[in-house]
Amino acid sequence: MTLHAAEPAAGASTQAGPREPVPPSRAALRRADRRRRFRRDWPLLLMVAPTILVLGAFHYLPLLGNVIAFQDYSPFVGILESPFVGFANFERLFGDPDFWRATANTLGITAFQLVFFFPVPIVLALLINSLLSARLKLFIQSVVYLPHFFSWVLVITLFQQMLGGAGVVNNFLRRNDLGVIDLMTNPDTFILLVTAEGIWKDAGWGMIIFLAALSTVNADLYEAAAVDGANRWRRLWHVTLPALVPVIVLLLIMRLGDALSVGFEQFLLQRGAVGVNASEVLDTYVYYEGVVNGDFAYAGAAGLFKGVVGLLLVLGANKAAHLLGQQGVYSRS
Amino acid sequence: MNAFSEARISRRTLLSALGAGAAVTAAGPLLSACSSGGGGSTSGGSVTSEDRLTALLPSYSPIEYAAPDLPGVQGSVPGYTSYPGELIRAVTETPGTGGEVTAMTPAYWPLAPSDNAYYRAVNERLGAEVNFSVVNGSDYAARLNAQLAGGEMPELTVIPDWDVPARFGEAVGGSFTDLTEYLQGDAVAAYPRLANLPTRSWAYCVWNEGLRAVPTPAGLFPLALYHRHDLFQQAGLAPPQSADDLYRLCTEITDPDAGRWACGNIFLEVKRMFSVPAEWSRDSAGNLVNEAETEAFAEAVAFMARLFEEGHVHPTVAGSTTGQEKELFESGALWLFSDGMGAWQEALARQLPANPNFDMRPFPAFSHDGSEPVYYTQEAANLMTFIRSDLPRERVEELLRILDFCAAPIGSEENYLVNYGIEGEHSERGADGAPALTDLGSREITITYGFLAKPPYIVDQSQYPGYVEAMHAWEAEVAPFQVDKLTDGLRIEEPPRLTGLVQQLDDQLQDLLRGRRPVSELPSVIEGWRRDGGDEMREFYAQALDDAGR
Repeated sequence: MTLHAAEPAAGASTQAGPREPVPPSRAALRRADRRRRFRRDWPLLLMVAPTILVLGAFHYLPLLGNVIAFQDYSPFVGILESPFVGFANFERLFGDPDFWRATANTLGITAFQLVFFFPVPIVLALLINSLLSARLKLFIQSVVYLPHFFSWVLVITLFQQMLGGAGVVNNFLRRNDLGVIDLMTNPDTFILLVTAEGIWKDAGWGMIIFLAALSTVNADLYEAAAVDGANRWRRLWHVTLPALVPVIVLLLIMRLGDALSVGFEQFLLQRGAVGVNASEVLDTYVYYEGVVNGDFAYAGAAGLFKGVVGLLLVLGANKAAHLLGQQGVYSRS
Repeated sequence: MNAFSEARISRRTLLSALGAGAAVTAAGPLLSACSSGGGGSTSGGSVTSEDRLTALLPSYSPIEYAAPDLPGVQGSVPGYTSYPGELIRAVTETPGTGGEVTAMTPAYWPLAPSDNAYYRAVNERLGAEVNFSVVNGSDYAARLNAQLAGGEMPELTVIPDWDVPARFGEAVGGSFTDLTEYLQGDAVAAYPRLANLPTRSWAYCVWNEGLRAVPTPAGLFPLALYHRHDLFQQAGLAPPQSADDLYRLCTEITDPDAGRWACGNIFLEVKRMFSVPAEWSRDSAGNLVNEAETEAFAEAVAFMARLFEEGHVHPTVAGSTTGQEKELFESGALWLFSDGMGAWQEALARQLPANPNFDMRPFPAFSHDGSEPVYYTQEAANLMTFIRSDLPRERVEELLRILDFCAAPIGSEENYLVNYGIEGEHSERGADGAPALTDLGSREITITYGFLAKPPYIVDQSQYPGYVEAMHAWEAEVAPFQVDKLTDGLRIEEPPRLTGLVQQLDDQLQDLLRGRRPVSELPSVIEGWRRDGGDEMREFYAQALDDAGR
């Protein structure tokens, strides 16, 4: 039937003189374009393939493991054998006051650190950037980012040695009959303590990315501003800060995505000193329920909840950044 | 030694171990929803008969290569005040077949270097290269959980009784070899050093009605309240005979200006002093009562909270989770602390070279009101060594021969090699024959092979002057007051949903002890515990204990 239908067309074509070119279909064009791009880009694709494989194997495939949040999961019989229990783990989770206490602590610490910790690396970067001596700049930079490489055990031990009941500060106060201050065991000031520890350990490290952003600012802009009569504050306000804004927004969004991950070791190590009411955060809650108590399904539900909230926060913050005219973490175009 | 090993085997003890099956059976309905045939036999089991258990355990066949100088008293362990001069070669054939053996053990001390002459020496005698995966003790439970869940086990896995993973009953069948046919009854005769282990410790290794592990026999008591005897003598202080005495001692010792505090967190020993029943007990009406619900417990909490409140607990201990109590005690910053019996000789090994006057000792037996004190015995084995399940028979037998080698008692060359390495290289004998580690020995020898298997517990280490005599005397004094827990020997696996209760209660108790909440809130804490699952747990235990005939 196809042959019969095609015959007149072929005959008509021969009778009508020179054949007019038939435009290729859109699909054919797409295929050709794809082939052309593949020929052009295959070295790049080859280079990126291992990363894609690693991402798939270690980041996306394990996401399937979240199914245990809907099971009465036993690691010893496996996912396939463990029975499904629907939303029972979530019902138990949302009815558990300890879970809500951990969530409240986590959000409280995140909010506090967003205000009091997040700006510190920016200020530090601006201060170091304003130094004229390159050698001094390098020295201070090295000193302030070194603590990032210390373990939390060491950081907390150092704080204990300084601020603990038998530490340097309290020994000094005691010898001078000034009483003692209880900073390491006071649940009421724990949020200040963990933020101080975090700043001491990581503010220098966080500063590096802002210093990198500052190094890209065109020096001509400063000179032009100076010629126009701008003093140091004006130059900071109109040249330096606008250069940092995209980086600040980017890091802020990424920080929001991690809003429910305030840390683990730092809180686990100080749990006994200040008690669970102050120190239990979602990460330690998941650890105790899952690894210590062996209730992996329940801990899986808590972890999934944490992940979903983090995703929503990133999407929301990114959208807000777009609305404010910033590029955000990613955009459709 | 024989008396110690066998004196405690009675009908009740056997029934205790028998309860292993019974208690897990009780958990069956709660676990059945998530267990399968491959994972173990936690569901649908039946109560093991006494005959079955008797048939299951290895026949006890004592061996003694060197007689103790101080015999055990009322079940306490024997002591060796001198090290045997002549050593016999106990294992005449090479246990291994030349290949590599993988093993995982915990470590509670700095790791030894992997390029290690001690390892080479022991491996040469073993005829196998034991490749240890040594994991920091504080991370061991997490590592075990992860490896069991992932099904990636070494050939030999050591599991301490304090780190047995949740739902282990489901894992044990699929993960580890049932050693019953290799070791039950007279079959153990092929491994004479293992046949020398007390029957009570073997009973502890029964899981799902099978002999699943080789035990490391434990000492009689889990804990002691140590004091710095040298500092006490200098200060003219005497041991306490009551709670009031202990409190008065604390007030006399604590002097922050001098950098001196009375104690660490000694709550476990304070509970013992007030004769708090261990975990579960029966009241006069026969009802099951948790330790936290007793009057004695409330008194213990109030006492310990007072020590915290008045600043007798070292601030570093109060200000951290782990506390660094050993270091503070050994440096004299605190004078009383509570730890296991092994802590004694470990501290002596660390301190005597630099401070020959260092002397720590447990307090003599005492109770809060001068009445007869209570000392709870500990489980008969505190470590178990499991063999992976997918190994052929010949390999299992080879591994058992290696464990047999490691379990050689004092008086044998094998025991010396495992504990002190090569004489003249890792250790030197003193004038009295007592071995002491050289610098190389101190660097290279940590407990590794000694975790795989050990002979019955004894008191030795005569290289520390006076230690054996003092330890033996303390155990002999305390032995008449030993009491078994109601759940002693039972293999009870709590329902996963309730396993968090202990941690939850402990968190709240720490709030009371450390003054974050008033002690008067203890009743509401207990009420909350009952509501959150404590009563359910009581029913669970009641069923398990009824099944075990307790």
